[in-house]
Amino acid sequence: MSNSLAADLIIPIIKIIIVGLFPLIMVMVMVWLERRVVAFIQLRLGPNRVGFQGILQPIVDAIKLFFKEDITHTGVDKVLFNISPVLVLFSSILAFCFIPLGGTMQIGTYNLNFWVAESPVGLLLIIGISSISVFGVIFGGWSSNSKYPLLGALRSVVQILSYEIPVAFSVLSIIFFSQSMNMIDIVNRQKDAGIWYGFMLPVSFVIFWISVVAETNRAPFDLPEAESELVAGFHTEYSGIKFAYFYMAEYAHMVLASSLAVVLFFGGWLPPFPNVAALSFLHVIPGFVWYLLKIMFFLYLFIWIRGTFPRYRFDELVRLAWKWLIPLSLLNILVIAFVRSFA
Amino acid sequence: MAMMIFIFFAVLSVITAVLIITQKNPMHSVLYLAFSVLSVSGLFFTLQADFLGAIQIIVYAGGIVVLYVFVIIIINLNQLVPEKRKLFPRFFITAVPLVLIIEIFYVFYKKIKTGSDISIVAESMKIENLSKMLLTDYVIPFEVASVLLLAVLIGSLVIARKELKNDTK
Repeated sequence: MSNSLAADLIIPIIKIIIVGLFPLIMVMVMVWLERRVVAFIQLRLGPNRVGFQGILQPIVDAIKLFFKEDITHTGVDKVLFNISPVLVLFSSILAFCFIPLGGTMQIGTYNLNFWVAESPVGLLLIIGISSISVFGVIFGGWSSNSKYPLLGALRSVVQILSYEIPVAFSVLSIIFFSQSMNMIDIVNRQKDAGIWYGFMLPVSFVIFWISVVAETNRAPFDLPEAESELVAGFHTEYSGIKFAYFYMAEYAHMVLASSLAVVLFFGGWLPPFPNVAALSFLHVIPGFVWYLLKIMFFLYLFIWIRGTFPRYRFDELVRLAWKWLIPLSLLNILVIAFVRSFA
Repeated sequence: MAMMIFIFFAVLSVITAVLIITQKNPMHSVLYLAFSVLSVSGLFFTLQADFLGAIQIIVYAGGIVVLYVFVIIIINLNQLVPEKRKLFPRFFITAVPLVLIIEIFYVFYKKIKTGSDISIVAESMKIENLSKMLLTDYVIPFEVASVLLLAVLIGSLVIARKELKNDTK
């Protein structure tokens, strides 16, 4: 009795708490890593005073933001103003429930799964839930009753909606091969195929990655927050803890995007060459570690891209989506469907 | 347990639906509309229609409600305009919900008589079965719907296109 209670109730609750905290912990790592790496790219030092190499800097920042005065200026639509940071952060954390953070681990007689929820349409759900953050952005921009946030919000929504289309198409090519939208099945099919889909479908991956960088509002596509034009975009009027929510949500979204890239294109929790017998010793390392290593690579790629490329102009950004990425992804789908059904 | 979750989402969707029509500010109505759509998708999940729930989130929450927000921002709709409609549209507006309510009660009545089996619905809502049905049994309605959507797309482009006065072509 007590055993089944533990299996049915306590372990899922612990898992939910861990999966809820995981993106937030990654956010803290990312804040530090981004400031340090961008600083090194720009021949600066970055934060290096608090703790070893400045590793405690995000904690200090967080404490500062939590205790800052929370300013709500006049003319604000209070309901929408207060709910939008929550919507943005909540949507990116919720999507983590469907991401497998590792394989199944056997402890005694109990099989510990490294995911909270398994759904036959997990992939669609992740795309759908992460698109809820659009509401937070646009409500936040509109309710601030100020020019720059409104313009930033409008830009942001146009950008997110445009780049969702190539993401969906590139993900569709994965479904052609895995024949499933279940995230766990997709990883297992990559194990059976013996090759990660990223190497099998490089065009899909490139389209996916460019669109995902744009969807997370990251440089070089950070037009909604272009400080030279729009101060800080949709969160200009936010301060204190609500600003911290938006800030954390941006990084949580990046972690989500990297996790999607890893699970869909680079084998999730699988070690490299999962079927080669000579490399079977790699299976000793738990799947979660492989997953973590892989998403760290993609998170580093985000920072690297930010430090390297100049910002796009807004019309260039929209043109890139509608005139290049969407036709290219359609053509890609066509070719893959042709190969899949006749070859 | 599943029943409790179902009731939770059902009550939530009704409350948010009532809040949509009682709000003075159209933007708040849209917020509650989004909540309502999400709680309806929660209902679909408790009925094991995962695909419908996901599509509900993507199409309605991610697409249509965002479109409403855009329209409200662009036409700067701050307060509700008082109703000034002719008799026939008014009649239409009241008649459609009435027909729907009658339909719902009829379905209830039928279900109470025959009893319902949720597993049949869950089986037909599996994505493989759904796609097979769409491309075999219902291929003609499916294609007709897509042609209709294309016609709407082209029509909206024609309406929205700017007429250039000094068009040399």
